[in-house]
Amino acid sequence: MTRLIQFEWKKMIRTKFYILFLLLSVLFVSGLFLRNFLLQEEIVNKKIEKFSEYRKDILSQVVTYQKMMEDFPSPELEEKIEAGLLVYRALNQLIESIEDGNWKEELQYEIQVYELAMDYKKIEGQFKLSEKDMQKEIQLNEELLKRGLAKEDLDLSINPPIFLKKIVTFFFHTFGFLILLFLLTIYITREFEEHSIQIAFTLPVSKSRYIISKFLSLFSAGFIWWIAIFGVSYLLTTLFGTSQENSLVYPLFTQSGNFLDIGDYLWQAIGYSILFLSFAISLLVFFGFLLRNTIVTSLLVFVLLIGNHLVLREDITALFNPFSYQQIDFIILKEPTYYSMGLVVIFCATVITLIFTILLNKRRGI
Amino acid sequence: MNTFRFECKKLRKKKTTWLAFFITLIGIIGFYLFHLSVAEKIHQKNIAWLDYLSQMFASNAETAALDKKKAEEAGDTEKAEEFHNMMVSFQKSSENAKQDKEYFANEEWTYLIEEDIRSLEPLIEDSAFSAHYIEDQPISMFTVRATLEEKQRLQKYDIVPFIQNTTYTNYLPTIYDDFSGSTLEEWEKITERYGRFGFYFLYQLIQSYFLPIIVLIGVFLFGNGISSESGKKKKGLHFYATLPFSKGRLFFAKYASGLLYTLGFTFMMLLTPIVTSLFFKGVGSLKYPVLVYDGSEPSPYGSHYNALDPKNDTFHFIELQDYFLKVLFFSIILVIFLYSCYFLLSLFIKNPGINIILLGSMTFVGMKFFPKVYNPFTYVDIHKIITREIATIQFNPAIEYQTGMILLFVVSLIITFISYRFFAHRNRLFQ
Repeated sequence: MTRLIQFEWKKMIRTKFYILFLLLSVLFVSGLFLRNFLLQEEIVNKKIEKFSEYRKDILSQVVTYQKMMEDFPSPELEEKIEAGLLVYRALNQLIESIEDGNWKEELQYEIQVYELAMDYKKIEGQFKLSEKDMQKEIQLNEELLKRGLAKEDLDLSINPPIFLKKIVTFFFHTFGFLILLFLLTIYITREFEEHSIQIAFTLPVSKSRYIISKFLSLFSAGFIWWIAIFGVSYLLTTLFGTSQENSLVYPLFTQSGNFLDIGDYLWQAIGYSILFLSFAISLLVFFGFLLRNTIVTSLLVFVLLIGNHLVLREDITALFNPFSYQQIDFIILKEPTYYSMGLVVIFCATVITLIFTILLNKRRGI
Repeated sequence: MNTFRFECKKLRKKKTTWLAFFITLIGIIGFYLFHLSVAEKIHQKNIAWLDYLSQMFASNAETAALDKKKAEEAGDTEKAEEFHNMMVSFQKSSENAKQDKEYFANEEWTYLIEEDIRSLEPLIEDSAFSAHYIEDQPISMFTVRATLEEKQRLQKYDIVPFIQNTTYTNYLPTIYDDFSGSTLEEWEKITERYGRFGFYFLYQLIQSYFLPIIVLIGVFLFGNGISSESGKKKKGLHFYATLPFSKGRLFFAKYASGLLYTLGFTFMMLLTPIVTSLFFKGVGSLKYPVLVYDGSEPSPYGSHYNALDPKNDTFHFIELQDYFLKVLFFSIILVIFLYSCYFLLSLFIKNPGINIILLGSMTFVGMKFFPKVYNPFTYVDIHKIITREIATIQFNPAIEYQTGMILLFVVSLIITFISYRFFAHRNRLFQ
């Protein structure tokens, strides 16, 4: 078996495409990290810009109310002006704390701004954020204060766990898996197309062993890709990124509005991505050995994964459907309780697909 | 011509070609059926919601009637009158909801469109009067204007609308809206449209990059004419080298046969949703209005200050038939363009999987990240070109349909010429 796997690996290395793909993936991760690294100042600017816009909005409303007060004074208008000015002052303090880089004050003032803004909205003042969004932000800020963590920009952060989460959303979803499968298809089907499978079948190796070795070699190729992506991301962020103490307990919102620690998120992402990779490759082996044609196999895998992507887009997931786990970020944040059972489901689906592949090819000619 | 016919026959005789054709066909039919089931589910949900509202208001009216009776018995006429008014109001709301439920259930869209028009007209007549809000964020005046005109056209031509996930006004989403956070999620949810008819479904598919995806599948299937015969173990080109005809003729035969089949494949796949819909809901109206943005005036102080003007920017509508006609002509050019690109790539790389990954990535990146006039990939998202969405967002009226057609065609010719030169040069090796 080891010899067979070595042989498969040799073939993969000889074609250079796999190595090129690995390099491109590593380059992409590095590029993404570099972009985030260079845009660190932008995070502060973005925050200041956002809150300055809110401040401008509030001020223009207050000025309008003050003008109206001069012509038609009323206690309601006075109340609005007072509430508006309170939001305005809190926004000023918030912007100052962002400029000073004092994250604790920043979180506290942000809470204050939203609380005052909600009061302001109750008396028919206007604030751009909806009450639901403000409640959510308050909840997150309070949690962060409780855990002693600064707020991170989930898109631009170079904090190891947060950056790893970004990598999960970037690579381990429908299109990431599709690209990998497109690349690996040829390592199964080319042997049929070029008839070199005839030589392989003359070797004293049973078909089932040959299929298993094919699966293991392709899975190991996928796994090395996985290690390269996670490894480079982790290395880059640990060496050059910023880190906070307890950053593994950074809270993430699940779809139901509860918190999930980023450590748990990453743990789930690791489990799901490795097992889904194995399932996807077992499917590829199944269709590759069934259809024995690169184009048709790739097309069928494409139709299956894209079709499932469209189903997931409608928010339709099921615990026992292994395809529900193809969007790793989505499934973790939507159904964090699926985890252990989800792993069992994907593992069983992989084994069943492989058994089917072996049974289907046992008596089949070349 | 004989070589061309021979190449066509080779493609036609391949079982895998037909298998791939049927897989794609089944994929599209499956997606149509899934989409139809989602649309029906949302329609039923809307009916159930109105039924719930009707019952809730009726129950509130009953409670108000009881309260009124109690107040009358207690001799509190003021309270009794207040409860009476509440009861009347609840009864009216219940009747309205019941009526709307009937309209939804019987799909009497004329009445529902009329209701939408009635709720939108006051906003247009006096824009300072009030604005429609989603949660706490206002809907742009442009969207309100465009929605109203769309509804008026639907009413005028008696057209069945799309299904939307709301029982209130069915807004037409535009690029002028600027929602954020949960409001954005809610807006996307209620403005997501589900077409049950063939033409509507195809219109939606085109908005979701269906055309480039189908063309890419087509070139993946038929664009390997040369590369599949010039591998280490498959040396079909050697056979041609022994025959007494020019390289140009061979190139033409290989190129044109693949192109012809890709074109045929693309048109068949475009027709699939329409034909499938005939067995279910029908094809729908070709007069359905498609919004086209007229664009915004660029700022005299420089592009940094460019901003869309929701109150004064204009728009117009074209009919779905004109839209499809444009898509049809564009598909021909797009097939030629993507086929030429793939053909050139396949002369360098024999692995069709790598070629399609490369071409797909180039198309996606070029289309998404570099929306410039002379970038041919800008025009791949044909929906946004016909509706002038990209031109409006970029404040660049030069990004238009005709420019795209000419540019793609010229670039295709250049790429084909490069492919021929490369093929002619490399083919010497086989002689």
